Amino acid sequence: MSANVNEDAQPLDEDVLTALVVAVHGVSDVFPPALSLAQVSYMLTAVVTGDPERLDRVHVSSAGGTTTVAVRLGTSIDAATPNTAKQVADVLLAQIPDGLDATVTVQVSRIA
Amino acid sequence: MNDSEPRTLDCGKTVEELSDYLAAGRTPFDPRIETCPECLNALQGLTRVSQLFHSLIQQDVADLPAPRENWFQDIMTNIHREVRAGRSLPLPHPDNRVNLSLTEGAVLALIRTVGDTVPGMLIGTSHLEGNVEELGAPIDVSVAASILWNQPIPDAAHTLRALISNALTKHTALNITSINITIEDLHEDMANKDMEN
Repeated sequence: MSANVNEDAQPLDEDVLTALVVAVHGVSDVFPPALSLAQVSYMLTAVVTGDPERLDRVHVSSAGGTTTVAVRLGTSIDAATPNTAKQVADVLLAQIPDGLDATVTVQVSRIA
Repeated sequence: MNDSEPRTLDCGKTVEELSDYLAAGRTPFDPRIETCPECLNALQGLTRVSQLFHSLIQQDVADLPAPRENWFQDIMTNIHREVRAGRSLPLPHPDNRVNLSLTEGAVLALIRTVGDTVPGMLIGTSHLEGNVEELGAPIDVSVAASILWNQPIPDAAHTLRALISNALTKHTALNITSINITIEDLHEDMANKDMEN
């Protein structure tokens, strides 16, 4: 894998990724992965606007040449959670451009 | 923890704040709560306790056995303990670029949810004993519950164990080796719950 490949790769769009995750059967909620400093602006906007979708999304971050795609889910009690989580991971993996050093983290925090 | 100490979740909210928010009809809308899975799990548990509490205070309890002292307080404390994210339970995926997991808090909330569907049953505490962070490790589940005073305990315990087993098999990758249920309280009739069921 080379730096040139990463530079040529299309950036991962959080809104697009979130829409794909929400469409997976068994996903009932998408929560922010964790509250970090980077999310404070999202949080403030959500509080002011009352729009939780500012927070509920897949997050993409990069550090040390590695991209991390992370999402925290709520799943439906009617669907098997391991299958739902795997399908979400597969959807996200499919969006990672060839050659991009990336990992996918999916955490299920609520089953209801 | 004594009763006067605030019970703080990982997100910084306290069970007391969530209880007030619930009492206010979840208004004004608080996105910090409504987008937080631990808060939502707690609200679900608090709703159940609130329903039970109101059904009890509406009854003439003089002829019925009183709940053990601090019974509700214990349940509130357990809800606080359970809804914290806790340990991370791995889920399998063949690609090593993927990290799938399930929070312990989500599983304990699931146990409370399925347990509360058993007529006359109210889940008190639940624990996952063993190394849940290692796939395949043997895990024992222990659950303490309260039951309506005139319900047959063996039947209810059998139903509860089956429901928990099915839920954990469906929603986790845990290697469950035992599910131990202790009925530690009897409580009075719960009109609201019977209406729900």
